[in-house]
Amino acid sequence: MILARWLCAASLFYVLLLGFARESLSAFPQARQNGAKETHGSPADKLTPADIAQGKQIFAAQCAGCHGFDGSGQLGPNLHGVDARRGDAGIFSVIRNGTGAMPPVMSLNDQRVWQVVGFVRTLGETAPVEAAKGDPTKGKAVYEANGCATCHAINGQGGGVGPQLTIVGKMRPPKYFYEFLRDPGKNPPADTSLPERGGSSGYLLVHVVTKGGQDVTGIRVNEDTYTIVLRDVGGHFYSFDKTNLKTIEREPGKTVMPSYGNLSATDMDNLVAYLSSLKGGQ
Amino acid sequence: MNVIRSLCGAVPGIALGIVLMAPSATAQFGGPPAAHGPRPRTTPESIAAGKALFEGTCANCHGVDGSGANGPNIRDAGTRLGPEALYQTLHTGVLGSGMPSFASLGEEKLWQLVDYVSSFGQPTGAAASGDPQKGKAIYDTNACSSCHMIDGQGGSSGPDLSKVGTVRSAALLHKILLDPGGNLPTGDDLQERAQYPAYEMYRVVMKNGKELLGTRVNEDSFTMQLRDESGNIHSVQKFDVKEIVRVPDKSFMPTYKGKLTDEQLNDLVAYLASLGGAK
Amino acid sequence: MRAAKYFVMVMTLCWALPSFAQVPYERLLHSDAEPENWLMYGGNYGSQRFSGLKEITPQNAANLRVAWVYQMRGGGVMESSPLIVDGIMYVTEPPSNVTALDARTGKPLWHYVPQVPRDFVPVGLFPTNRGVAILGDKLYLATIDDHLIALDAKSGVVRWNSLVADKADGYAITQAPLAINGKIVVGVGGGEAGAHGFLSCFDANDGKLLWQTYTVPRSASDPGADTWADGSWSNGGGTTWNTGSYDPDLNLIYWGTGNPVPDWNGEGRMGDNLFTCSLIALDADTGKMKWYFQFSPHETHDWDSSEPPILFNASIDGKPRKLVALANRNAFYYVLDRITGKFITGVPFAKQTWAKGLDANGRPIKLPAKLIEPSVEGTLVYPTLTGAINWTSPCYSPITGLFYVNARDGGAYYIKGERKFEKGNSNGVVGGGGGGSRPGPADETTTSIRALNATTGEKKWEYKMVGDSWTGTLVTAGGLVFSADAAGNFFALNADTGEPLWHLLLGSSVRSNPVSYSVDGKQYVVDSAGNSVFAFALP
Repeated sequence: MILARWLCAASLFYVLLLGFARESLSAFPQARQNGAKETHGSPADKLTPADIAQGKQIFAAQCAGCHGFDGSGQLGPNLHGVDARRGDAGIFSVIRNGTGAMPPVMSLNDQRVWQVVGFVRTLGETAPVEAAKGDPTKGKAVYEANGCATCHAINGQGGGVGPQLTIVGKMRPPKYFYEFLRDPGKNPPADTSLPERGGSSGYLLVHVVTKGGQDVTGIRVNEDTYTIVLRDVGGHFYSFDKTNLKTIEREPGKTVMPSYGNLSATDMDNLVAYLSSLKGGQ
Repeated sequence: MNVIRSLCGAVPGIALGIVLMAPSATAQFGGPPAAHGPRPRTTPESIAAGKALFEGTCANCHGVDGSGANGPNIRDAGTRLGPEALYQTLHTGVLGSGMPSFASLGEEKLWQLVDYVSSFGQPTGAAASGDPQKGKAIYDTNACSSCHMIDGQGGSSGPDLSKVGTVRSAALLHKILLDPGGNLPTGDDLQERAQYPAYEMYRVVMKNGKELLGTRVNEDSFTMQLRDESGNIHSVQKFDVKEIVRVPDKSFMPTYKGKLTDEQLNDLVAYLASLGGAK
Repeated sequence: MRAAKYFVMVMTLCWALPSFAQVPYERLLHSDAEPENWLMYGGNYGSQRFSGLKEITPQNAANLRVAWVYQMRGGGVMESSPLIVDGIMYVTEPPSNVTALDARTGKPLWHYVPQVPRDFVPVGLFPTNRGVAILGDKLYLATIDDHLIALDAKSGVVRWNSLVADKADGYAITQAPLAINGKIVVGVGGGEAGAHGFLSCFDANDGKLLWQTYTVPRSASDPGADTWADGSWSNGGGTTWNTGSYDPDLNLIYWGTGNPVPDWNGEGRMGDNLFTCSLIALDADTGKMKWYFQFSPHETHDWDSSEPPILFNASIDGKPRKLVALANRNAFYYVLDRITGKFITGVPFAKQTWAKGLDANGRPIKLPAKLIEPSVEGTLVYPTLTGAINWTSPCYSPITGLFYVNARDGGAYYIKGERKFEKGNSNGVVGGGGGGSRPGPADETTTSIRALNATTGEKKWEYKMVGDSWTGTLVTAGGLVFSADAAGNFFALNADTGEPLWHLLLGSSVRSNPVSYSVDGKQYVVDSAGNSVFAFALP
């Protein structure tokens, strides 16, 4: 039963992946070589289980220190679902060339890097988590009724204040949604748009008062010892030199996202089911 | 790849190779080694075909004889990499350099290039006709090691000769010994200076009257770095300089014309041509 | 002919002299007498990282500007501490390359790229290199795949190449070797791969091995074997992966040792596990261990004691003493007598929740195991796995008498994993760890530059930064401390008060140690950020 379900999910995943691979190919036409024949899929598709096991070991040795042994993130971001976000070639490129705070990996040859890519692709699709019990279609209605699209985008539709939800169903299990919707400030996600800030709380609410009396509350975009940049819900950026600030109050546990703990149990189940169904490729 | 080669015969192998070889969008990132069929037999014809391809496509960067121009000296690439790695380098290019992928040439032409590049360093014609043992004695008597290093022994103001036999033909070695200034080596490990030939001699006169003579290590609009005869580096700011004059056809290496007999020259060339060969 | 040759030689000598001269041992011995150069990894044999240069001061530091930048051609993050010798700078680039630069202009002069196998995956160590050593006319480089290579300092051509260890046993080397009189000392890394730690000493001229001293027992009759239950000494550990210090008068080499194996799970190796997580003092001629001091007996949090031991002389109770200070990963700052290894004092320099304090011998009084040992669910302990300090170096100023350390406050949940491990195989890539950690509460991990009274560890001032900085500290006679925050703001502080005087955002994290040198009387301060080396000077 479980095996069949897993096979079903795996084949659905591969179909979606091929769809994504094709999209990423067409998005970067200049990446093709002269006279290259069109292919579908990627070298990572040709990996054997032994390759993926090797990739897992390399990951444990070289990557887990930042990304966690299960890839769910530590200093570095959560890698679950990263293949849908970046594609195989994208993951290969990040490993090979680095990004933000992640240095390029010089010591692995291409074969080894593909093995790691193969393993990273499996993240997020391990043992089937308990399926969301609600009705995703009804959940979509709950989503719309509550104006979630004001701050969140799915497939490019919606607002950009909060994280995009296009593939959130691959990245988070239903249990996470229940907890998060009830108390969004308790465990905010990392802000993966700025990988240099790995380790800093994402979407931290900060309230500053400048020496000139200006009062701004916003989501922290970036901060270091000397400067801080905030963004308000309208998307405007505010850049401050800390020498010009009278007070800086970081407000962990708070967030601009309200709590949805007052939803009825049925609405909550349906909303969670809808979010769990968001796996990209729609 | 060995498994594929051993499983397939030549024809289906090539067919399979072409299918698997078709580069995807990931080719620019390297990808796994490109699959290919078994290497065709090397023949004088394949080398000649490779030569023609090389002179048309590769010589612009690597020099007509592969000893480097814009791009590096690749005369030892055949022995240094071996045919498989050489094939992969041609197929994939070199990440982070000016060398693109030549996969579009197709497998047959790539092997021809492999055949030709592998033939560098095989002295043609006037092969070392001298006696390498005697040549070594001549090398020692003439204190060549005061400027040149072989396998870690010797001086470092001139090029390292440990593998010179794989990167210079006997004929060229002969010419260099008779006229070093007229046959300066090109190419260097300093990729940043790719377009500057190495070992070009410059005389720099400072505003305070001091004079420097040395080979140019690096140069830009504001500074110049020279290496003197002892191998020491001098750093010069151009606003301290009165004039910079290129000294053509000059090398710190003395000429051995008139110092060695023809027979001694042949022996010395034979010794040098033996350095770095297959061990 | 001959006359001409001699004429040329004489003329060359006349104007070649001011340039590169050799670096005989006497120069290294008296490196403090030539502050314009930086002749070894730690600045001097005491690893004090103190620059005698005075041109840049608290009064003019605000005028510092970038003099030049060098960018590595390949990608990657530089962790190298450069040497500057007579106007030439030697930096290393990942994985194990050496580049010579004109220290006045930043222009590259030559590169050396060893053939490191590309399918080699070091376990627990990043494939990078932290610097070279120089002695005579040769540079000494340790490669990630465990070679010690001597290069001609003028041209980068290989003089000799010796194998230090077999990478198949889990060894990898990232450190700068240490050059003493006619000898090169180098340690090894690989504690997560079950490697057995040792220090080895090679002849500087021909690369022959002179001595090799293991830091963990190799047989049941070796010293320390009785501190490993059930023969578990065979697991290995005690790697020596960060450059140590040297006292030429005592002829002692001081080196820190790393964790016992397996990390995070000490069940199968009850006992103190000597000589892991210790400072060892070896006779430089024979390699024999003169004394040891263990900081963390039976260590289970990956708190290697591989931090640089800083040698300094000061008065304690009115008597002049020869001391060694070590700010340990376990969050305690220790001062020991460096002749005998006797404990003098030890106090926390960062937040720690694992020990009530240290006893009269410097041994930690650990809290109950339930509170501090790794567990399956994860036990929150301060400091983090990466420690209150990691590989980057603190520094010491003989003028202020202060020890400047980039201290990390933060906790992690320590997770106990399986006890089994297999000896690290570079191609098989099997780790030796028995668990790991996951981070504590986000944003809680912060780093601060702390100035400690060197003899007591008492904090004089602190400069708090945002984020988790991995930069070392440099202190100058001019009265400045240099370091950088996690974002890559390179800054100067007043060495007496900690007041910030200048900073510049370099755009990438500064995972290295700053140094200072001068050419033509002009002082430069140098550090790397990301893939670039930045040199700063006054206009």
